[in-house]
Amino acid sequence: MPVEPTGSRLERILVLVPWVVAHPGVTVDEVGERFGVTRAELLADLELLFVCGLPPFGPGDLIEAYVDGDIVTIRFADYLSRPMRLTRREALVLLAVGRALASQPGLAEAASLRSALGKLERATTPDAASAAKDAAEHVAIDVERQPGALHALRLAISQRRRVRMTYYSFGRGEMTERVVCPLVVFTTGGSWYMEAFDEKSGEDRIFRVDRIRDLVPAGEACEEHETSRDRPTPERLFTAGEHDLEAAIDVSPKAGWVAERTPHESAKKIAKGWTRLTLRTPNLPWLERLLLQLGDEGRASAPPELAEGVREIARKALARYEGGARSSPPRTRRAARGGS
Amino acid sequence: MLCRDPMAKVERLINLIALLMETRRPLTPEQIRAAIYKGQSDVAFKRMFERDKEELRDIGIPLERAATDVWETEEGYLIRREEATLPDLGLEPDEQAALWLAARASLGGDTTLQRALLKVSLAGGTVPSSGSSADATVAGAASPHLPGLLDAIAERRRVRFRYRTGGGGAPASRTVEPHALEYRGGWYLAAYDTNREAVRHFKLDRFASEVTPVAGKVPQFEPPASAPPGVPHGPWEGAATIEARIAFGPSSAWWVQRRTGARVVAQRDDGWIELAVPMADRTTFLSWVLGFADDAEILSPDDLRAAAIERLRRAAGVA
Repeated sequence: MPVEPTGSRLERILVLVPWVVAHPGVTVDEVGERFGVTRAELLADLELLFVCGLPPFGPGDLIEAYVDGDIVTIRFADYLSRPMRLTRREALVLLAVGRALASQPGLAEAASLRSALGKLERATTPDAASAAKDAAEHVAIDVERQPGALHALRLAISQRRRVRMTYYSFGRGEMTERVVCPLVVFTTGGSWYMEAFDEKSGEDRIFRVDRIRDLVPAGEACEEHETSRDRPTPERLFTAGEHDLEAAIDVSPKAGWVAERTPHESAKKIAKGWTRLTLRTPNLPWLERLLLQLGDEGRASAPPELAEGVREIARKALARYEGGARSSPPRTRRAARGGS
Repeated sequence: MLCRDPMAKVERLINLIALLMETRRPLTPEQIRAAIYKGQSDVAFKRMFERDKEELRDIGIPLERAATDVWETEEGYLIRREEATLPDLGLEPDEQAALWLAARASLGGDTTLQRALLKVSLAGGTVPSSGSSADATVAGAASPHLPGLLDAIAERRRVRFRYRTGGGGAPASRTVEPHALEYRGGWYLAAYDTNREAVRHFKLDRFASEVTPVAGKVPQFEPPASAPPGVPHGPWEGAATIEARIAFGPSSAWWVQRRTGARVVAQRDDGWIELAVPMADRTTFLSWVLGFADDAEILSPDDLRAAAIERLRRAAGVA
């Protein structure tokens, strides 16, 4: 086990003491979880505190730190009972990244976040605050520009009302008309998403907000069972549904980005530096398109229909190129000249 | 006396903090030495005390120097509680919630941040329960490299790290002048690569080592004359040289147009729309268009169209 640097151990102890003092009756496991330390590490910290205190370090001058029946107790540490100011690095991360996030269009909490950061900045040492200000100018958080539908979706969520939308499914390459009950909007990986109860399938579905073309209120209220959920969205997001298929694709070393961007169950090294990704998915068309995009850098592995699917969409696309459908300007209307 | 002699370093620092926080009057170096650095030689004490002061300053606990008496004949040290500790922040519930959301959004489980948030929760009341808002933001890629890189950007200090490229291969060492951090589905560092003599984007997920600051006086480089270019959103962004003309089907054209900002060249009677899309990297661009399968057709340039047909033939199993 690598030796923990003095600085980080000291910093942890300086937060651990006030935290335990503020939470009487807390257990070893709770402290361990909160501070990301093992039982042994926590006991070592307490042992260390036990021999600290004020000169002349007699029994009455020392901190009392012990575990009794799994309950962690720290006493006589008045001088350590308040949290220290944010360190330069803590301030840098929280303030610089927080500022960047607050200036991102479309974030509902931006105003609250800005005022919270203001209070925090005033409580930070001038040196750290000014470093954070310098760094903040060089931090950008780029979530796609607020898609137009976001406002309407938030309104629908707060009123628990259904919406009717035209949605572009990239995997299938088609537009569908759906009535959904929006549950939550969120960002991840730089895009906005909506989770909604989809009437058509009778299930919760994730939709990308930028692929919603038109959105209108459907006028009806959502039913209770459609909007109540026991698990938070982030946990549900990338968990496989019970009807999901298992699929596997092989990607070349050049296509390493696929593993980074595609949620998968396992990644196994196979011959020549290639990787086999196993994943669960509700449908195959998006994988077929991904494989077509990868060309020689990717291969379908399972199920057998996947490889056939790729050949099929390639044939269809080829027919478009070879079927003489290529347009020539005289047969089209020039949008630039406003002809319609 | 229970404290081992010489005391272990963390123990000694905690005792030093306790001593200097409890005292009402500044303590002279001799008094501090007698209490904490017992048995050390003059030289050893001086060296240790200097290092300890520095260590405490690094973690945000400054030792204050002040005269020990009104005649100012002697100087001593103390830590003022109101300076060293976090005052009550008076955060409203919505402010706390927003702060937690922000932390989760872009930072995930970084330990520096976790600690900062614990301090804030101790100075501001209760830890809010999440999910109070209609928005939920899923944790992005947490990166342990953020604090060090932010520090280096603020100081304008060079850093070294080992880096894996997207195409596989062994990680190679890079020395860079860090300019900016950008979050786009993951964290990227825009930096001037001193070996390649060009500004590059480095994905923090692909760092294969810790970030090591290059020692020496700062600033170590001039700030960049212009803001670094953003990480491209797609193969239509970047140093575009030519425009490709592509026809998209009715279901995808509106989306491509909205996303890329491409110019509409023509609207066909069958609902297809011809767009002029800037092309940066040819290979990625071709792959991107092929991903639309039969919902897109490259019209020009001719060699790109030919390359698309070639790739589709192979994929279709047509020799």
